[in-house]
Amino acid sequence: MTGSIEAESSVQIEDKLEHDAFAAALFDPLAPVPAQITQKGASQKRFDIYRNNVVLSLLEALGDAFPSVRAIAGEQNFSRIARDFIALYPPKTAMMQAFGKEFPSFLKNYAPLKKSLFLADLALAERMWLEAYHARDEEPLAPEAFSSIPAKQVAGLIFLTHPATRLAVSRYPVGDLFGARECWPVHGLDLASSQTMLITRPFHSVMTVTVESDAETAFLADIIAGETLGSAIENAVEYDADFQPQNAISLMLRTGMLSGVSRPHNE
Amino acid sequence: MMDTILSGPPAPSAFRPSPVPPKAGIGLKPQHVETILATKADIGFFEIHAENYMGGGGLPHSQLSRIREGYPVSVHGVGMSIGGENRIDRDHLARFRAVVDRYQPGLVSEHLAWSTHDNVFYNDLLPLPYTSKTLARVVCHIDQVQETIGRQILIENPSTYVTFNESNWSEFEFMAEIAFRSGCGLLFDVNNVYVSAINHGYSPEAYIDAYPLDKVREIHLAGHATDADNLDQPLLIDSHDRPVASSVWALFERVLQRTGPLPSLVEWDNDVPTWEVLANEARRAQSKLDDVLKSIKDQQVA
Repeated sequence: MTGSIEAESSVQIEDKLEHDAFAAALFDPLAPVPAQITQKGASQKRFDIYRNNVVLSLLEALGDAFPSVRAIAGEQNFSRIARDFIALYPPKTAMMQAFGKEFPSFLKNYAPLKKSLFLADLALAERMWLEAYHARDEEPLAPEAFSSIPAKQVAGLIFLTHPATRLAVSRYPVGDLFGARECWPVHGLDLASSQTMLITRPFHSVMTVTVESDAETAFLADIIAGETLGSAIENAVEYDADFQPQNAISLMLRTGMLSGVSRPHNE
Repeated sequence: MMDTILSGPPAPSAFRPSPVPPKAGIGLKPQHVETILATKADIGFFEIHAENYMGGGGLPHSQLSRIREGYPVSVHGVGMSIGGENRIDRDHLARFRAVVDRYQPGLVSEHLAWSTHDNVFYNDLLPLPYTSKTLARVVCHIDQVQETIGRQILIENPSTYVTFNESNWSEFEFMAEIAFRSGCGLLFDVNNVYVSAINHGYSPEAYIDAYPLDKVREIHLAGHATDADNLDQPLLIDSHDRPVASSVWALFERVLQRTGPLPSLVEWDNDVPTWEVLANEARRAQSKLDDVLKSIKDQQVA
């Protein structure tokens, strides 16, 4: 017994790790080169290769995930913003698709951009696009499945959304801003107008639709939240008495944003 | 929202195991997939980075499935952090396993490097000292990966820009020992040999001659950039952004003379060229593989 206790007490838990200094210096351009490196006098430039690889690859990965934000901010500004972001939210896993998921909320609270809040909304739309790109495959709901349902049951229908479906609601023209990844600047952009982006991926290409009307946005948000078709329509009509349900339903079916429909049990 | 990316059950494999032949292969890039399929490109195999296929679905999986229908595939991990001090990330290992299960690759490989430390992923292949302590840790991590995926992995020799005071193993002895202890095979990156040898002032030929080539199951070839360090000593950078250097082709021939033909991959990950340029590099590798096969046959006849 005594022997095993001694053996246990002799186990040391190391709280300092060998890679601590190397790892810490990667993100800190002012940190000295780790002392364990052999190449005295030549170590700076050699260590800087690792520093550059790490920082530049993360800047590039973030820029590739948010190409419209990068285009609008400009390369230099984006690089400065991205360095601040990486210092707070470095990637936690080797699956780089996950890197940058905090970027929209980071931008929302980023003091230097407090006059450009539209960038946070745009970043959220870009994040949603990336999530849609990688989402699980699923067959979208065929429009015929809907037309075969008896009219009296229609109001009670609840839909399942496709795993790729996202809705980016914004006070800004997020749909127009999203186009910056293709072409920037956009002429005649009205930052005071509001848009919603419906993002789906019926098969392998991500599809985006810009919705301008508040009623249609409310309708789509309700459907995605699992409200019945009837209450989604009622809610939309409150935004706009001229709301046309058939247009909104056609949009839902056309984009493949749904993957299933369930009829209420009590009818 | 991320849950749809992170979880998602692994699809049962639609593919039968298909061994990677001792031919030239190419690192798969999404922009080349349609050309490859439309022209039925004559390539021995394609290699993918496991991390690019860890999403739930969509275009990456659809492209890879179509490639896998026509070609053997090897899966190369770049983020397992085999040389790291922390335990292997179990979630990452599970995702890695899902890729292997789904695509039934002929070969599976990873690096002698670390990329994760204290819960931060650095997105680069970072170097480690070669000591008995790091050796034991690396072997333990390789065991864990091999047990989880239920098969042998290959470990790639690194390209490095620094060495460590505490290292008391040579790299080739270290590689031989991890293969001996863990039962892993080796992936021999000839460009990495050249880059490290020039950077650290030793002979790449001597390194190759001392290397445990009997454990090598795959070869990598790539281009490197040339720079100089603070003392004006040559500093080569493993950039994967240009053709394979003539010095590296010569070393490739030297390796093949001892090993015979092996699956040999051309990697080109940055400034990715047109398919035609890449296919030409692969043809060049293939002609060297053909030459060595012919010389072996000639010797057998004689």
